[in-house]
Amino acid sequence: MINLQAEHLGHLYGDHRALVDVSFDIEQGSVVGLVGPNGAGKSTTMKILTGFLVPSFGSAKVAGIDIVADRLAAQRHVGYLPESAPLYKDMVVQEYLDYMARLKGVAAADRRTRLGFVVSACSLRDVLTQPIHALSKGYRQRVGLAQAMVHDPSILILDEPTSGLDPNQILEIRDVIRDLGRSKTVVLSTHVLSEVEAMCGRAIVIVGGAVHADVPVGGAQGEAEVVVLDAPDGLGDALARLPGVKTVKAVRNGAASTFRLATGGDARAVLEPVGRLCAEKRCVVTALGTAHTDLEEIFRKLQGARGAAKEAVS
Amino acid sequence: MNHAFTVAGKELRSSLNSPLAWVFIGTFTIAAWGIFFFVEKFFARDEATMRGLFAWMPWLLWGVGPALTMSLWASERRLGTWEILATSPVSTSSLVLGKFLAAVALLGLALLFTLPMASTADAFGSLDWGAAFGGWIGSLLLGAVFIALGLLCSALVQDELVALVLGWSLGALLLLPGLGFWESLVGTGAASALRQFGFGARFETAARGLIELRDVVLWITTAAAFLTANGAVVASRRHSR
Repeated sequence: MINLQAEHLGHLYGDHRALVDVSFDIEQGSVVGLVGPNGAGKSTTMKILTGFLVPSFGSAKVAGIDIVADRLAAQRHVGYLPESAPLYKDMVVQEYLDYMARLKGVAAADRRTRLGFVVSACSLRDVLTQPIHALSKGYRQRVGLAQAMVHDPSILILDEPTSGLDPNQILEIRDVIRDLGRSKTVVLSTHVLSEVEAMCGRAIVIVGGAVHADVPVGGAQGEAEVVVLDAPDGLGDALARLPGVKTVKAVRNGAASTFRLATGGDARAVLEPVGRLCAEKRCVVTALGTAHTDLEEIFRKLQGARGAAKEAVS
Repeated sequence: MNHAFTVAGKELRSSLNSPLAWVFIGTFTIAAWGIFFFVEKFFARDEATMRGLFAWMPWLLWGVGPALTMSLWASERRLGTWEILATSPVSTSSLVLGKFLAAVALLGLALLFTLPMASTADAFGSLDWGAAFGGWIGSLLLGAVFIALGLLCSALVQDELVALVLGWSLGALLLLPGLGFWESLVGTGAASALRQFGFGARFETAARGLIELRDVVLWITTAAAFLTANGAVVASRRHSR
């Protein structure tokens, strides 16, 4: 089911064309990354999808409702975490979440359950009675995520949800987001490639205010990759016999052999069996993961294009 | 409408938790008592009346209104919390009304601290309580006008202090037509015509405890006009940055 729809979105800030033409459809139960360089239009797109900005051109529908024509009805289906999680710092966490639940129209009878749910989903139990200004950046981000989820929206829009967090906090937030993605539509923005690969099944690359590419990512693309040193004969065949693996391609480069496994499904599911197999065969594995060359390729080209443009200017 | 009360409750609690609101309420109270006893010389007058306080009330309200509202919108935009508020399923009018009600409640609290003056006056002679309450009602209504104006100013800028100064400047314009100096400038006739447009001069009736319908209509429509403008300003933000 299509849950989020953008049709030829364009936006002007004064004379500056921040958004030229952005269109996409997003299905319920998926995590989609909006990626692209700073100033490409990721945040502007998100601000339109959440009803914060009225687009200069085009239209957007959330849960089938036009975000401009019926803003309030549409916003009931959307939870939004703005960049850097702006919160009322003088409020206590519990009080803040309760306020947001009331504001977003959570019925009094459901409020306790909803608050309990977001508090445990975002691991906020320990800080409930603390004022927000006393919280670490990671906790603030989680409070921001909790308020976005409090009215049980079917769509979550998260602007740079992991920026400014330390590695541990990033891992925690990623887990929460992946969990959410099973039942909800999650759209997140980032300019970190590995972030997309860790969380998203699809990436929409936005450059210069327009969709530059729209590609499946990581496991969703169906390929896994393992790099082995001094691979024993027959390893390729053994890999091909693993359940879920359809074909295996091998490339040898000196001592290292790269095996690329096509699964036709979620490649993340075969990573563990591949690892076990290599261990049994006593191989030295130097890399194991899902293949993601499409996105990497796109980024490399973008980087190259920008480098060339810079050279042309200078 | 429910949302307006939710917003009002949150703003009221936040204000009562902030030292700044108490500074303003305290200043208002001290100024009110100072005027009552020292400027208007309550004891020297030998008359049990609250008129000394209410004569100055328009200026007190002019001062405190924008102070109570200056951060209500400006800080939302400066801190970015506006982004979460604007993407919540709440109508703009509920937000405006909620913030307005919170500031009016704070003013009500400040006015409450002037109530003991009436008991003091009553102790020295018999006070006309009806007239006194008329004065307080009028004060709350005129105060609501300055609050609505201050709230509008807070929505126009991102900086609290700029909102305060803007609120005082525009508020002074409301009082200006009724000021005494016009008589020497434009003559008695023109000055008395001008007085009709001065929110301070018109308050003299209310200060005597007489609440006239046309004054109530004036206060309420003026406040409503400022609140409507406020809603328009806030809604227009969705069309630009």
